[in-house]
Amino acid sequence: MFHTLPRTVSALVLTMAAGTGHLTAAPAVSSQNLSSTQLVALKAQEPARVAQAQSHLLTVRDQLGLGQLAGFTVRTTLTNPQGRTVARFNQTHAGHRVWAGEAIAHVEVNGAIQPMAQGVKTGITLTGAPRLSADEARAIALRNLAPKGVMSQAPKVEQVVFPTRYTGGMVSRFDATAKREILDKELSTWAKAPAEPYVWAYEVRTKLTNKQDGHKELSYIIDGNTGAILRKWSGLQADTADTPAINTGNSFFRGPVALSTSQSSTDGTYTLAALDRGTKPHPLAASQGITQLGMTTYYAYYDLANWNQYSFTPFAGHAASTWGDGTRMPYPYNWSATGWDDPNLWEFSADGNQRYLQGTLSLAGETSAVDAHFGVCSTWDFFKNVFGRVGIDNLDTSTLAVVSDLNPFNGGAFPDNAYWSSWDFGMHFGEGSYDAAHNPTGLLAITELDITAHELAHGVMEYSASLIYAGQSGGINEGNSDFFGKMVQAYVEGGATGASVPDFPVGDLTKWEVGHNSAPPGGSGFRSMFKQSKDGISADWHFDGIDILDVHYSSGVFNRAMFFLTTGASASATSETYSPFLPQGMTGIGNDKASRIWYKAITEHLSSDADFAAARAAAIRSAQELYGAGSAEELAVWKAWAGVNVGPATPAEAPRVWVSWPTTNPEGSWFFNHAADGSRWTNLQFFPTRTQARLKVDVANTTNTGITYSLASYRLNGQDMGGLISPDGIWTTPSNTYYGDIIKLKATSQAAPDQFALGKAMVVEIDADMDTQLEVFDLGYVAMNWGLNANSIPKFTANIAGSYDFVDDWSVVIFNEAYTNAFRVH
Amino acid sequence: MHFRTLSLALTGLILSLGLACGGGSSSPAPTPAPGAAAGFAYTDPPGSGWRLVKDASSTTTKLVLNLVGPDGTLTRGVGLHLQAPAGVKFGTFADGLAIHDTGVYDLLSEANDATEPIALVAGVKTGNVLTAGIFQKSRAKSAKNSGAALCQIILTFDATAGLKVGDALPLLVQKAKVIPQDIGTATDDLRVLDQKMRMADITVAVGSLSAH
Repeated sequence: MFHTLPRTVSALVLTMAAGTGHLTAAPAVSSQNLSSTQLVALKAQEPARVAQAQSHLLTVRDQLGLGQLAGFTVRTTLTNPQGRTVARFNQTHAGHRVWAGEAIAHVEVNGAIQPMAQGVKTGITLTGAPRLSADEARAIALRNLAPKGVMSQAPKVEQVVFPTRYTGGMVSRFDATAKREILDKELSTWAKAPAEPYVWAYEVRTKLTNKQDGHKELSYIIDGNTGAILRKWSGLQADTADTPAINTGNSFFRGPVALSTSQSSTDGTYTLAALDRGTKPHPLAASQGITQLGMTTYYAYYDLANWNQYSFTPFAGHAASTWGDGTRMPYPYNWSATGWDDPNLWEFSADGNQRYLQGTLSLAGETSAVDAHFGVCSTWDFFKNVFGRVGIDNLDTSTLAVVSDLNPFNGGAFPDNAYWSSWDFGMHFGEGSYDAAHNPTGLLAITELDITAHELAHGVMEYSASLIYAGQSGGINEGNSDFFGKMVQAYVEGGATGASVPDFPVGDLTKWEVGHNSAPPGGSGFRSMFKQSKDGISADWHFDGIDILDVHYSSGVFNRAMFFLTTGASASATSETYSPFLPQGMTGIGNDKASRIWYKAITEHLSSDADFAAARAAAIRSAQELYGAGSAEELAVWKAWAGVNVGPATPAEAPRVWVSWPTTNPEGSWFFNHAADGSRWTNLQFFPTRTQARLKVDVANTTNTGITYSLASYRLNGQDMGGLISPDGIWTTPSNTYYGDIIKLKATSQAAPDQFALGKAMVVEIDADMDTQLEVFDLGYVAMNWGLNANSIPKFTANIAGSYDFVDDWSVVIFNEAYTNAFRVH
Repeated sequence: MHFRTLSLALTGLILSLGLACGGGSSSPAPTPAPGAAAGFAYTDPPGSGWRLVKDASSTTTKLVLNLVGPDGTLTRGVGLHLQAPAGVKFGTFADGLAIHDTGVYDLLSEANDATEPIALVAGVKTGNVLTAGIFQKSRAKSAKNSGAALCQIILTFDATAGLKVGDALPLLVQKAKVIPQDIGTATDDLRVLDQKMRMADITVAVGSLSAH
């Protein structure tokens, strides 16, 4: 059975994660199985070995953070094939069980004892006795239980120490009528946690088996002093297992598709849970005490019974074996209204506790789930069949997909977005907000196969090279997802069988448009991998300063390289697949070889901060390992990257002209070390307002160092706000400072006009004494005001770079850089 | 941006490196025509006030000038605008700056972190005007006796300018200011503080420079 997964992780989980350290050095552990004779002999000694462990725990109470009232009672023991005896103990305090308190001890073959402290509850100082008696606690529980029939078995009552952080609890259950998880009001408790970390309490366990009540096993924690019910749970465990099933889904993008689902053994209904993909529990679910196995598709909702918390719950309880109707779920926004509180946007569950996008559970809403479920499962299969990778982490850990996604931060919708969530170990997909009349630029849907694969590939990246999601590595990370998205698409469109990746039809460039069918009518997808600059923003090749671009735009370099490698490059200058850096063009090596080379690169060679040059090097090395040094495949990698201006096309090629802006704040500089994310500022240059500054770049590998300067798109409110720049590099900076805005400056080689560098500049006010003159004396005023705050700065505000409140070293740094950039000595 | 990343204790080393590297001049000198100048001749100005005096490290083609103040006058920093005629360029020291800290002023804060930013700046404005300044930023540091070389600048001979021996190369200090000793305290009345936190104009005497 599946449960709702609120996004918060319980304190219990964090506590356990933090407390996994051992108290003593780990003894040598054998990985060899013992002979049966040895094992029998050792098991015969198990009681003695457990007793030794128990004694040992008592001797290390101080190290465990426990007082002298602490004790341990044996709960379970086992001796494994290697001869390790594992003993689990209930923790006690003054002779009473500590609820959820546990210690584990490993007794190795050689007798070495290893206590495990993560379950131990420390800091217990309770003394005396609870105010209530056991009988009074029992009566309180029974009043709540309110049995209708005869109670044949007397409740069991045990005095315990209760950690109050476990007070309360939301419990949900599946409502077959509503076909969704709902709040289980009978089991949910709303008690306010006592202020103390531990209280005396009673655990009351009840059992009802009669015609009127059915079969119930409810347990209670009753506060020993106040009588409040602190916690309540059912002792019944699901005794039937769901079984794998194959359903049919009517998808929006691919028509009828086979869906791997699960079927309930109790009522025969289906859940969008592919039990054959993921045999290890989903980590987020596990952190909340829920076992989710298999790739499961959820929908998002706000839990109105739990502070409007963003939550998601699986598509389950489906009586029919066919899902969806293949139609797009209309975006339910009332376009004549304003804001996300549009009532038309929302639908509520029958019990009023869930608020989700209207239509989420309709057939059209199911259609989104079908596409996502199919896409993620197909991607799972692709990585398994082609590369032998079992799941995102290669450990067969279950994952999830959430459709009809909502915004976890603002209580609203989240229609045009999809993302991989490391925290959730899963993917989220919005609905698409396209509306022909009111929102013609919105997306139709975001559950297209290459997009679902894109998001899962982010997960694979996280568990392989884990490229940092910023700068060039971020561009590669994004491109990696685009690329594998396309490889999955090719795999599925080629029949989704076997261990090789087919090619797309020759000449069909639409296959290389990311989200081609998600775009509104007339659109062409998010990114054209063969020439990403078609969007007007992205880069087609590497240049100095590319880091200024968002990773979704700098990805154009990687995407084009992979397009060249798979499909080839044209030698015709008018072709969209032509590169001026590879005018002779090239022949691709096909999807299969290219994907193997790149998969090997990210899993075996690339490190997290790789740049384009490192990606190229890793691909070359992978090609050599797979196909041989000097192979056609390796040479194709050279050419593909050369086509995007990363490295030469052949070893004999002369170094290319390279234009670069000076590194102003290198790693290790004060600015780099003190700025948040200093790497972002490495090449940023400051300039004063309303002055004429002379720009300067470095030009390598040519005797013609001539540069043509230009201003690269900086507009605000429809106006050019970047000042004026002459081709020879005299920049008349704007008179106004928009603090934080970055102006792009372009320096293009006159020797090789395709080579340019993009500089980042920020214009700042440095007239500290406000006499309208930019002079070195302004720095004197900065110095005099240094360390003063606004209350003690008399007149000269020394408002360097927008800092009106405090003059400090930031003011000094920024003044120095802006002044020297404006009035260069050479 | 330029940072002074070396401690003041290394000042001498920095200067030596700067000189050894030939400052900012990089063009090979052409063979001089008869009567053509090949370097500078500089005579220090008279007097004991604010003045630019030749440093012993100067060479024929590179004139290192010390900015010196009147002995006994306590200041917290000084800056100037120095205009030079054609044939004279402003050079840079080994750290790339056109002004060099001689170590008199205490430029660091109380933390004395050698990597922290310091108020030391220079640039060349239109009209061949060197603007350079050096300032203490911490109120906790005492004002310093100005009767020493407070900072240095470099003038380099432009062999391409066609100067002849004896050509006068007048230098002009357009403007110069100092931070006085008393800049008030943070607890002063703001009106008092306002009056005290003003840089004071000074007159800097310049010697006689000619082509040689």
